Amino acid sequence: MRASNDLKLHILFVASLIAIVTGIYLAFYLAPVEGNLGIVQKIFYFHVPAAFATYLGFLLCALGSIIYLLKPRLWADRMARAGAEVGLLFGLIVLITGPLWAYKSWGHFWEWEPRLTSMLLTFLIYCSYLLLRAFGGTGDSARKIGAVMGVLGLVGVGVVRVSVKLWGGVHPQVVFEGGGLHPDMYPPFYVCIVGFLLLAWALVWMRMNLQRDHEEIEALHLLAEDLEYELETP
Amino acid sequence: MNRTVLRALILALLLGVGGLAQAQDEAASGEAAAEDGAGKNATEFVAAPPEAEKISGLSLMVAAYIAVWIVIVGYILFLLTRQRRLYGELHDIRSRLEAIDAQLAEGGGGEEGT
Repeated sequence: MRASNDLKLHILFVASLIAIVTGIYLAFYLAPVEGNLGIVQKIFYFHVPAAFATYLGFLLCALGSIIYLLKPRLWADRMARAGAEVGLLFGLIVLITGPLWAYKSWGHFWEWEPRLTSMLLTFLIYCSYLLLRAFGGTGDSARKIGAVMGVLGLVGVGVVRVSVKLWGGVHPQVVFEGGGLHPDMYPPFYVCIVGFLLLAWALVWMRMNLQRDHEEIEALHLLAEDLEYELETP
Repeated sequence: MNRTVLRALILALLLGVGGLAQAQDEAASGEAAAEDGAGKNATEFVAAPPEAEKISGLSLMVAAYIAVWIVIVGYILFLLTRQRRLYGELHDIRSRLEAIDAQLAEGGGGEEGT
């Protein structure tokens, strides 16, 4: 069964790679160069899909946390941890690519405006979640405290999503609100979104497998210690 | 479900909803200021004036794409390294358990002899 799971994971990785490479190809050979921003607008085809992947990761973290709080299941805890890690990975991509694009758009790398600030805060919340999980112990209590934090972090994700609508700011709204996209920009944009979401899913799956293997090996270590102790004592 | 955990969840939800509601009030009162043009979100791509930029757009784009691939590949390599380390631990634990098995077998052979 593990062999078939590994095969599915490999297929998922390959599919995500194909989608991302196709998206990049379409972004450079189909989508036109944007008139105002020029070539730097091509960052858009990574920046926004990475944001979607970030939301997916953090949503999985919150979902796993809620399931663990309602009914403690180790697989839910693994999903929460994996979701947070992958969400932070793509969140880092958003926080790197965004300022690089912002320099061309605003003349400087960073602005303490609602979308950017709330994104950074949410990123830091999930960093804290991972630190808590890494150093807070491995018992059920530590998992439950982590789960509460994982759910709280979801509030941050909601704030990021509605920050522009509620508080304005200078972060552009070209995709769902405005008409700033040329029709030929949509295919690479959607293909990149699919590619990044598939990649996020594959990384979460891979991370969950690793965590499961780690827990099994830890259990075997304990078993070996118990058996060695029994052999040594007369 | 643990009562403390349930209370923490409810408090978090209330704070989140309360915060959003307050922000919506502030946003409504700030709409007049926003309509003046200050802080209005662009609905198309806008560029800073040419004199403001010192780094070319191509350099920024290349840097962004390189950073993305470094982050993704770096994380995959991190996972693969951890997987390799786990396989090493698995090999160690297998040896340990085999040694325990051998000891148990010897101990069982000794008892049968007497």
